[in-house]
Amino acid sequence: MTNSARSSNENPTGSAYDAAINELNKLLLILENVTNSITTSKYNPFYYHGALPQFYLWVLFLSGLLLFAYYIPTIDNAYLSARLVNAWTSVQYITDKLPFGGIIRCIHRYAGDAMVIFTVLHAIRVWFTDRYRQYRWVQWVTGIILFLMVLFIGQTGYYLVWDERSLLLTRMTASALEVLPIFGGPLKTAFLNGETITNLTLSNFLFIHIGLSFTLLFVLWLHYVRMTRPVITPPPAINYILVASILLVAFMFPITSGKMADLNTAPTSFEMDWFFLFPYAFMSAVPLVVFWVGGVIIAFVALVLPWLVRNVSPPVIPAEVVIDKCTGCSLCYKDCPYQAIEMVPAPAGSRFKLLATVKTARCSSCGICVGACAFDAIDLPNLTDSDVTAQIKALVEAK
Amino acid sequence: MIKSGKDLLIIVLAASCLIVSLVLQPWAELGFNGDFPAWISWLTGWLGIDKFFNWLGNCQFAKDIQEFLSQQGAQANFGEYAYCLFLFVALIVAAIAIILIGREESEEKLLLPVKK
Amino acid sequence: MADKKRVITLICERAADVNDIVGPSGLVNGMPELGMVKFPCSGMIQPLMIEAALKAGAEGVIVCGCQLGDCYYREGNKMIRERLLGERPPGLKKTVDRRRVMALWLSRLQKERFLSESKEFIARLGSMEKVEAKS
Ligand code: HEM
Ligand code: SF4
Ligand code: SF4
Repeated sequence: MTNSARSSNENPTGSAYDAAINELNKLLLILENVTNSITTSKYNPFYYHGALPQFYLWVLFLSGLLLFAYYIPTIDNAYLSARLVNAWTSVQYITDKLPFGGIIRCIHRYAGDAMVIFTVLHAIRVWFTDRYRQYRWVQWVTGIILFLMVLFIGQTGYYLVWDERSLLLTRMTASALEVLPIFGGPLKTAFLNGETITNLTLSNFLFIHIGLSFTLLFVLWLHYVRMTRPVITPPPAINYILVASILLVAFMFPITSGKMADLNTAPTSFEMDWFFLFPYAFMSAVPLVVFWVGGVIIAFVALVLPWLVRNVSPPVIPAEVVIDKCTGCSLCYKDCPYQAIEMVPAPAGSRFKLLATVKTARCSSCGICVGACAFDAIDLPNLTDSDVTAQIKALVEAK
Repeated sequence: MIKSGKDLLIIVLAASCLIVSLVLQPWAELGFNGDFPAWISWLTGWLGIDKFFNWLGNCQFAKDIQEFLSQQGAQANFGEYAYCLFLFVALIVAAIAIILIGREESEEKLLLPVKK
Repeated sequence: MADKKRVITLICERAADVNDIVGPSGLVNGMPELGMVKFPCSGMIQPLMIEAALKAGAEGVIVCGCQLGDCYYREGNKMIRERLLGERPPGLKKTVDRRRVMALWLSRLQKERFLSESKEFIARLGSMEKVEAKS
């Protein structure tokens, strides 16, 4: 009888989906074991999966600030027309004339690519290790939103360069927006900041690029709000490797600019950046209707994934506070990893000031609060303190 | 002080990190030669670093780097891209050394300290 | 085996996978000196539980959680580690014999490591017993 502890990770229903995720989880475990044997757990990048994209975000902010200092968001600049000064020539100036300007540009671009890669790896890890549903749904949903935002920010970055690729991407986006029902026209006007491409268009792109980047910080706050002490900084040795790898790519693939965009030409193809521009490949391969319907379906399925498989998740049975034992010491509140405990004023007549209460929707049923409580005042209903002590006693005495 | 092969490796890594960042990075930044008007006198006089840099610049690997970069489409500032390469080396070497030192602190087994 | 002393393992069900070696009674097959209590997370282990096991007559206690950094519930193994070391309340009482407590941080795939470490631990406790019996 002693083994009454539940074993929820032993595929609860045996569905095909569960079996597949189980296999993928095992694969990850093997990879992580190999990494542990090289780096030990202290430096295992898998254990900093969320901190890696966060680190690249800081790199992007810093390098972006440097580029912003010299970038001019116009397609031509009449009052300086003696020498044409526009977005493209300012980027050219940054790349060729400014000391280390080209390098900063490489760092900004490749850190963006790296952020996409590590965001996807982070999402894959939380998915395969079953860390994405139930009480974690807020992190998952904000994660998908973050990913879409990162993609769009990267794409606006590509418009800003104002070479032929930028022109083609801008036109493709405008015509894709135009076909949308009801909002199509206004969206296109909002995107171009007018009916056609003008100087105002590029200032709009710059505004979106920078504005959305700062909005990321707000959405990240939502991403983190249900986690106590989120791990957002990898150890320095890993940071060195993260920076070094972008530098190597910068050396291997220096950025070369395309031709300046010319509104009187109609470029038809461009060099692909698969990390940010893959939606455009999809767009040019299928009719626009298919692009929009397909895109919306994919995004929607990704957003509701935590609920699609809800029926196979073992139910989470939240921790319960034993009201007359709780002393209000707050230890459980400090240690709960999902911010699921709130300290409220104790009921009238209590000897203590505070009382712990469990916010059931956030609780993961991990029992960390049980380990934190020195007064046996909080319990998991399906494995109480007294169950544990009884099991221990029975085991010591078993024949 | 040097008790094992690992200690020796760490010292070698630290030394190569220093050499790369004190010699190769400035050399790349100067554009692969020692023609720099503002040298501190003891660096050129006593150390002869300008001559050393010029000699390095004539070595085959300096030419290889430049040829590789122009093949990859870099239009200018080859030295800056080479600087990236050397900074990459210095950072990776430093990271390996730090991990070699820090992995000692990592644990899979914890025995509680017995207080007397 | 009735009067042979026992070592109790308090283990996270996601750490070293021992499901196929634990019998219905909670004892490890072929190693009756080792008993297992499973938890949803090693962070649920309260130092009082370790004291309870030792008081009930266990020879030693092994705490086993996942690799540090890989807790499914984010921080559970760090919490119990700090509690064992006295860096986070609640800790072990001063009177607890620290030599009788060992913690292991092992991933799901490290069953063999778990078994070899526990055998070693049990042997060490055995020799400790002999020395103490003599003096
Ligand atoms: C901008 C990109 C992102 C950043 C910087 C980021 C960062 C983080 C960080 C630092 C954590 C905390 C890890 C921990 O301390 O345990 C985390 C957790 C999480 N993230 Fe993200 N994330 C990003 C995008 C995403 C995406 C695209 C998804 C999935 C669609 C996602 C899903 C999750 C989930 C489900 C958790 C909770 C994991 C747990 O509770 O163990 N995130 N994220
Ligand atoms: S079981 Fe306790 S520590 Fe874990 S999430 Fe619920 S309230 Fe927080
Ligand atoms: S640790 Fe226990 S006593 Fe302290 S606040 Fe939480 S439930 Fe109450």
